[in-house]
Amino acid sequence: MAIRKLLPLVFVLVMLAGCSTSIGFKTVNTTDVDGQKAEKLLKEDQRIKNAVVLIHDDRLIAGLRVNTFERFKKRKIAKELSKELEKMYPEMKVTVSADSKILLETNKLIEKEDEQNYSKKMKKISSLVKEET
Amino acid sequence: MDEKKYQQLQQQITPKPKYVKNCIAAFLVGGLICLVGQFVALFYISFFDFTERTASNPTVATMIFISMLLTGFGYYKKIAQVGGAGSAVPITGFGNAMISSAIEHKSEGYVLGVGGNMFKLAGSVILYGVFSAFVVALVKTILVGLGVVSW
Repeated sequence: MAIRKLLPLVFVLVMLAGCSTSIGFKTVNTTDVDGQKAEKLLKEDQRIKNAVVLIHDDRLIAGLRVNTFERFKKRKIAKELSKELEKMYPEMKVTVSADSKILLETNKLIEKEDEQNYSKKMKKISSLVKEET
Repeated sequence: MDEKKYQQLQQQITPKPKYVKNCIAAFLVGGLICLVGQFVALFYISFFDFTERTASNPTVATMIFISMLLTGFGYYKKIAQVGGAGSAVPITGFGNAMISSAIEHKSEGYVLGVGGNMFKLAGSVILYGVFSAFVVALVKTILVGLGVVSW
């Protein structure tokens, strides 16, 4: 009987534990340009919870996770930050998205540390952003 | 017994619906269904090439399929007894409406029974869903045209 009562509690705890996975702010830069500027911009933005930035060759990809109630405006936030990053890095192709897929894939790419495949994979991630239903 | 007296008696005997309890149960069951949907969407985003926007299509299909299976096995009825509107409003309610009418009319034959009645309940959902979508799209198109909002 005690186990039966404990089960919902365990279930809720497991569910909540799943929500706590935090990536934080991560920047990987393989070029000579200053990547800290981008990280600083994202860190200072109160609307953003997590961000992963990858700068390689002529591409910059930023995957964002916005705060819960900012989700309604996440496309607008991504657009605004994309404009600012384009100003900061005019020579780069900038992709900014608040879509979970972009954050997950960029993070996965960074964790794999497979630098040779960066260009190819980054192109694929950028093309995902443009996808419509 | 005249009509008024009968109605008074009926009101006295009829148990009062527990609105607060029903609302909480509907909120929890509906929320739980949405949570499952969120996990399904996350599955498609993590393991396939779907983005948050494109993942909604396979997620809806999966949720309808799951609710159809649960209806077939008789579990959805139990969920609906607890959750009420919480189980009917999400897209899973659509799958349930389709399959339950199909099961109900199975004895009348597959073509005129199942085929003819499958969308009997779901038909109204489709009709008003499409109509509401049309109205919302029309309003948004006008607002975008006027420059009030952007796409």
